[in-house]
Amino acid sequence: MKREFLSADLLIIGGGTAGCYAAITAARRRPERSILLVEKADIRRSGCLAAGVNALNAYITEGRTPQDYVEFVRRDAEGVIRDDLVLSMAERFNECAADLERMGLVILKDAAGKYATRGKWNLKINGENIKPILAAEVRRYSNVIVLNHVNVTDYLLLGGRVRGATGFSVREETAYSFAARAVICATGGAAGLYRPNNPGFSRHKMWYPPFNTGAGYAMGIRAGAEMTGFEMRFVALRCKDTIAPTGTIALGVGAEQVNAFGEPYALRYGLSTSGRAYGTTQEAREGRGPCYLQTVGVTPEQETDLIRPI
Amino acid sequence: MAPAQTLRWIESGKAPSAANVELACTEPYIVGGHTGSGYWTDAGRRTTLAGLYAAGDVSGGAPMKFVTGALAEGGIAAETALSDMERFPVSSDAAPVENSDYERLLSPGGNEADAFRLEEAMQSVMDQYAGGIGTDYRYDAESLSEARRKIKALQRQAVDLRASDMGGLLRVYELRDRLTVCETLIAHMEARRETRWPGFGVRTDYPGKDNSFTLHVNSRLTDGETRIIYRKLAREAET
Repeated sequence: MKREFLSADLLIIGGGTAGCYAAITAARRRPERSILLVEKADIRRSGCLAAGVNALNAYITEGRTPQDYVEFVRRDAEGVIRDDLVLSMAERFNECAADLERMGLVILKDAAGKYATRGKWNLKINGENIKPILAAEVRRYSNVIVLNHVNVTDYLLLGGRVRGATGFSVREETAYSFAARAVICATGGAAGLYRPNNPGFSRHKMWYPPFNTGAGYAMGIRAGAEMTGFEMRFVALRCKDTIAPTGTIALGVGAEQVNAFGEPYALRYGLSTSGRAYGTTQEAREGRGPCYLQTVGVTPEQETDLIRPI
Repeated sequence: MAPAQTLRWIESGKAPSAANVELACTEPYIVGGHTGSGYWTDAGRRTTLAGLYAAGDVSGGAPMKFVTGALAEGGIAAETALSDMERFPVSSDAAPVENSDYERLLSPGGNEADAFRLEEAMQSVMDQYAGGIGTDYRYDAESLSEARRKIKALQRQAVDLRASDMGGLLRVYELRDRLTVCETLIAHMEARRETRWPGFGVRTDYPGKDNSFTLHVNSRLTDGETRIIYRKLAREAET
């Protein structure tokens, strides 16, 4: 097996949304620092945004504050959140959105030239190419080296400090050793732990990217890092079979969740992310399934807008 | 709308105004961008391991990040890492390290196809005993203990996996990583003896919300054992 050794000031593991922006931020702040971004696939189409996204769902719209977002998240998570972490990210939502627009992302505007909002916290975008846009921005900085198709498996711990990592090429017989002054883990979460909605041939047809294997969690667990909140699993409420987002329909045309008898049920279970999913499962359990988003009755204009693929 | 749904509408000949859209819940995922799972960090996204920072889906305690939150965390982690680098100079001249596992796991005639078989077995165990779709996301102490026993057995089987090429090596690691995550997940589900987010999982032996569990369930692997650490919410720790 061939061996390669690379060292940098900052090693970033995972070139998805967070990893790319970590590289961009570091490159802008410190042009003299060397940054190495290692990605299992290719940063142009990797991570959760690989296939694009049609909204920015965390934006502080007019009249609201980052603290309001903290309260929104606290309610949705039934109280178990880290205020400091949610607040510090919420304070940056809008500058990050503006930065994406500067990079070339199309954020839809209303007649007055303001961002087109959908719901309390959401901006509509043409986001099919959001990941290539982020990748192109990464490529603008000469102090960032991108290493695609390399899978990192273990941290390098020296004297109780993470000083690098090891990995291998998924295409050639090459083992990599990385040394760095600091390491950022920005890999994906974990899909594929549970039997999916569509087993067998279509098992990739799931909500979360099937290539997100939890490698970053596993590396941390093995190295003795403290982990939090694993029992707060995520179950997404989606359009059956297509696994398409329900928010686009629910927020877009105000479609209600109704059971097999056409009765709205969402309010009985609460409008949190967990509550909406629970109601749908529970109605079916109690013999009132399956459940639907009531789109019958939308206007022809709404329908045209809804069907348009974005 | 998502292209898959647009195609469904057109292919079925039933536009949304003619037929309601059926709903389904997915299998459970572990994803810090939507819920709270991940590395325990400080405000600067420093993990509990010196020199390591976390951002995005692997970073815990900050649900509903979505796109802009993942970007924000990447930015915060990068800024912290850079400023720590100034304050605590660490040389980057660490010597190359050889990970002997790669060559050991690569062997002609490798059996990475078995990784798929073990992956299906893992998914089936998690589905039936750790609250998957098959049980309407329901589980209890007994089923979790069965899940742990079966996941440990699969981990022992995974030790014998070998890969015939680099793609196969990736399969072997992906399975091992998922099994590691499953083990930690089961320990966390055992430790939260209540039902706080019923849409994400119902503990049938503790079906209600219990205010004494308005806290963070954390863990750390020590000497091969997942040790649970309960941490108070910051706003309560202050008062």
